[in-house]
Amino acid sequence: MEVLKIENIVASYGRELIVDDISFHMKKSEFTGLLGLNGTGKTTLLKVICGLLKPKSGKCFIDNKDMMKYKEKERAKYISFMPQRHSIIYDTTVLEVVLMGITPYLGTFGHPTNEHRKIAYDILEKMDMEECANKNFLQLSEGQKQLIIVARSLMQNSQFMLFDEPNSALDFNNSHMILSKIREVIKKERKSGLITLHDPNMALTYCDRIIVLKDKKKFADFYIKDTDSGFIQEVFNKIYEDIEIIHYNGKYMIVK
Amino acid sequence: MKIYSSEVRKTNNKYFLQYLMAIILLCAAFGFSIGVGKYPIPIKDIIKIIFGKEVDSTVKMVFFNLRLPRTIMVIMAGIGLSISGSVYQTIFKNPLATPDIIGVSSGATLGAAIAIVFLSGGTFTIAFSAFAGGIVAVFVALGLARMSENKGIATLVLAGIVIGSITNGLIMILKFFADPERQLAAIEFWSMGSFAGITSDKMLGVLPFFLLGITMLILLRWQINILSLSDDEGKSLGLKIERVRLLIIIAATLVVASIVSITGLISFISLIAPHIARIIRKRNDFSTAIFSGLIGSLILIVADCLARSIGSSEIPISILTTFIGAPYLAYLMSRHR
Repeated sequence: MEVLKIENIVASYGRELIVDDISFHMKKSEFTGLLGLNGTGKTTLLKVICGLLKPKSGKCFIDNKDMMKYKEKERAKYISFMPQRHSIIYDTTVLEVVLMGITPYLGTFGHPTNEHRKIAYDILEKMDMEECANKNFLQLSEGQKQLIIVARSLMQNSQFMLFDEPNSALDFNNSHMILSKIREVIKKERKSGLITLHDPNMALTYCDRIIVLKDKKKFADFYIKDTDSGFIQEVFNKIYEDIEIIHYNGKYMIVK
Repeated sequence: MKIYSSEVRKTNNKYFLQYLMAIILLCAAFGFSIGVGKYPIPIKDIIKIIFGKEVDSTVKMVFFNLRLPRTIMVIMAGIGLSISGSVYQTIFKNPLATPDIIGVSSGATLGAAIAIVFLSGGTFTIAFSAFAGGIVAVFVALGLARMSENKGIATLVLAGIVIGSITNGLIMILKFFADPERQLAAIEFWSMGSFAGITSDKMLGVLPFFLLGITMLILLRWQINILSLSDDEGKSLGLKIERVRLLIIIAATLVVASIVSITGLISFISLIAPHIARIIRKRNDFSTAIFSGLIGSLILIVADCLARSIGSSEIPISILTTFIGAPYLAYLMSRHR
């Protein structure tokens, strides 16, 4: 369970092509940012990878096993997905929300045990959120809510974690908080993360690797550490136009 | 873990007390319901019967043939309608959803109307036809939803609306051609609900379906919880949502159809009891759904006692559930949040 191979994915909604022949591999302990303007197919690509959307063609392999042929439950043990916004509308405790991550390991009529509750609590503890365990999820701050959804993904215990703009509804501070936490989790637990982001600076600050989509295709794919600022500027200029890249505190940043 | 455990213990204690109180109230209401009516049974006679002592044979007859089956049926109806209401509000992600949303009530009414107009109109025929009508309407709605490309919740609701409208149209045709003195009145009375004609035969006849549905819902309690999330979220958590949703709807339909087939339509309980339970418990898990069942039974017992005691003849139950439930919900709404 080391590598998730995404091969020649083509996806569309009805007749409209959204993702055109995209391939890449996700590796262990690697945090990859998926960048691109609106409508370039970032979210669609994530949905195809985690099985929510059937691709027109293309495959995803983990250890040479074709993920598209897996049932929801089996796939969910390998790949987790965190949507832009959670959809919890009824009062639920934080621990119960985290506990939802155990669902792929339960039978049709199964339900979580006390042992599962203990695991959920341990995960909250690891994320320094244990004092929230018995609180009402809906009364947490937006940033805390997103952290709890990350905890739920951890409960799912899947090697590959997908995140669809988890910071889209968060303020500046909470955005940084959630991204640093996700990075920390991926490094500590040796997971493999793929995240769609709107802000290239977020990707430059927290990701190891950046994949840029343009016109439904993969436009660039590079490791930040091994890439010089000239190349990054050139790539981003073609997407965001008229940008400058600056080097600050060991990190790249782009300004417009 | 220590702080959390003590917090959980505190909430669990609170829940236990709430359950205990609801059960004590329900027992009191049960005794009251046995006693109240045209032929009142005094408490000392009820206690005598419970401890197997001899009482007057008329009292015994009223107790076993009228009051006991009726009161048990009222409790069953309260539990069943409230739990399925809770479940529907959860899986349809809509606090206003009731089991009617997918056509069970209108289907049952159509079934009853067909029995009243075309068949003998006997109580067992009406019950059987109403039960079948409710189940068939839900299955047609589910089939209609399956034909659509989009298998989401909105499609199900739309299918429910389509089937509901068609059955309502058919009911109108039947009402138009029905004999206004007897048949039309019977259809109208049926759709206002009543526990007046409940016998132990009828109650025991629907009991297996009721228990089957409730058991399925209890077994699926965690999955019901997950279905409160968006379809994408549920699927990415590994749940086969279309199949599980189908199972839950079938289970809830069995419960509701088994009740309304012999009582007629009982309005408002399945909407209001879950809300009251959620406001009291500030949670939406399955234990809250069961708690709402106790609340629903309580309201329904009070309503039924009034139904058979305030007028010279029995008042339809739905009139009372509406007028007891609505002010209470209004009161809770103004006090909380």
